[in-house]
Amino acid sequence: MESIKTKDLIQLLTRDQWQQQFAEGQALPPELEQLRDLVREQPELLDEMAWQSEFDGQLLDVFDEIDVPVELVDRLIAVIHESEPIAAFNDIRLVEDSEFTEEVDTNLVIPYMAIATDVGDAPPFLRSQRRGLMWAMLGTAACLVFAIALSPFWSAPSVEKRLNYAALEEMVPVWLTELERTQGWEHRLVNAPYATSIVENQVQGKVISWRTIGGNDDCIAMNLSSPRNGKLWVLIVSTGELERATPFREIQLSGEFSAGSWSDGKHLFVAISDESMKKIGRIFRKPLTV
Amino acid sequence: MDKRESSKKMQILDALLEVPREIDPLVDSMSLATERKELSVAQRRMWIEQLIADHHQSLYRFCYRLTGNASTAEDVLQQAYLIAFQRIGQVKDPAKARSWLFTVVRTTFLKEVRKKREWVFTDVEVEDNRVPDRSRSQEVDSQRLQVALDALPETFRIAVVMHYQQQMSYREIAEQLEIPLGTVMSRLSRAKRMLKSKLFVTQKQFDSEE
Repeated sequence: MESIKTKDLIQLLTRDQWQQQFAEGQALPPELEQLRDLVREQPELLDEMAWQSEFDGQLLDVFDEIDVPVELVDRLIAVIHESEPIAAFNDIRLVEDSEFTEEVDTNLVIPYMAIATDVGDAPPFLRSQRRGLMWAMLGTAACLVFAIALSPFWSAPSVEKRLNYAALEEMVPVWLTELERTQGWEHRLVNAPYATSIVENQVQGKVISWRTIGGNDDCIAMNLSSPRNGKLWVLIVSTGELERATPFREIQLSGEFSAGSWSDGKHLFVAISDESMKKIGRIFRKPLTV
Repeated sequence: MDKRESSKKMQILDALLEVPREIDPLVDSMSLATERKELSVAQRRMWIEQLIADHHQSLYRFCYRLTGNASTAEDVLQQAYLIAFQRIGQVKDPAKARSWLFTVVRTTFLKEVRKKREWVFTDVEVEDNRVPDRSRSQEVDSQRLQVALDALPETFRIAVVMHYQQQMSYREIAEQLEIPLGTVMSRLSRAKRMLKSKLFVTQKQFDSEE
C-alpha cells in the first residue's frame, strides 16, 4: 500500500463529509479519522479544509456540463448494425470463449473503416454459418480495398501525451512484470535496436541481455544485473520529442525496487534496481550523479 | 415433450445463456432454439441497443472528460460499444452491465492513448507543488476544467473523473479498478491537488488575458 501523508488526506474529504460527518462529529471512514487529530494540532487547517470543500462543490457542479450530440444514439446504433455481419463471423470463433474478462481484447474490435463499409443487409438471425462467413469475408475484403485506397490520406490524430514523473511512477510497476520474466531476453546484443554503449557509457556495468517492453521498440530494456549490481535494468524509452536533457531524478515507488530517470536530450532512460537508491547512486559514471 | 422435460430443458437453457431469466426481460425474447453458451448476434444487438439508450449520455460525458474533445470521445465510445457488442454475453449479472460498460470504456481509452502516445518528457511536478491562492475567488467553468484535466496523467485523470463525475468514493474506485485502496487514495489525492493547481494556473492566465 502506498503511503499517503496525513495532510494529503484533506484532499480526500468530500464536501458532504466535511459538511456533515466532520462538522457534526459523526464517524468518518477509518482512513480519514486521523484528520480530526491533525486539525487539533493545526487549527489553521480548518480554513483550508473549508476552502477545499467549497472548491470540490464547484467541481462537482461543473463536471457534467457537457453537451451530448443529439444524433449520438442514432450513430451508435448504426455502427452496431453495420458491424453485425462481422460480429456473426466473430461469433463462430467466440463460441467457446465465454469467460468474463475485465481486460478487453481490442483485437476483437472491428476496424473502424470496416464498419463504415456498406456490406448490404445483415443476414437474418440464425441463418447458416456459411452465409454469415460469406458476408464477413465480403465485408473484410471491401474493408481492405477501402483501407488500402485511403491509406495515403490517413493521418492518425496524434494524441500527444506528456510523460512525466507521475506517469513514470505508474509505468514502472507495469514494466517490472516484464523485466522479471526470465523468458524473452535476447543475449545477442548486436540485435539490440540501441548499441549497448549508450547505457554502458553512463552506468557502471555490462549489458548482458536486452528485450523489448510491451512488444515493440518504443521501450527497450537493457539488463545489467550482476552479483555486484544486483538486479539492474536500464530502459531506453523512445520519445517523440525531448524538451531538454534532465538530470537523474528518483521515482517514488512502493515495494522493494528503486528507480530513477534521466535524459541525455535524445533518449529518456529509466533505471530500475532492487538495490537502495543510495546504492544506485554509485553505479552512475560521472558527471551523472544522483 | 412432457411438462417435466420441458421444464428441465428451460433450466438447462437458462444456465447456458448465463442471464437470469427473472432479472432480464430481454431473455424472454431470446430464441430457445439457441442451445449455446454465447448469446446470438441478434440477442446481443437487442441488449446493446438498450444499453445505448440507457447509458450513452453518461458514458459520452465520461469519454469526453477523459479524452478532452468531442470527436475522440465519440470514437472511443463507438469502439467501446463495439467491444461490448462482442462481449456482452459474458456479463453474468445484467444489473452490473452499466459498470461493466464503464470498464470497457476505460480500457478502450487507455489502449487508444497508449497506442498513439508520443512521449514528451516534462516535469509536471513543478506545477503540482504550487499552492492555489485561497484569497482569490475561484470560478471554474467546464472548458477550463477540461484544460486542467488534459494535463493530468491518464491514470490520475481516470481516478479524478470517476470521483467527481460518477461520484465514487476512493473505496469504490479501488474496487472498480481492482487496485489497492492506498494506491487509489494516493492517486486521487495527488490528482485533486494537481487539478486545483492547474485550474489556478489557467485562471491566472485567463485573468491576465482579460
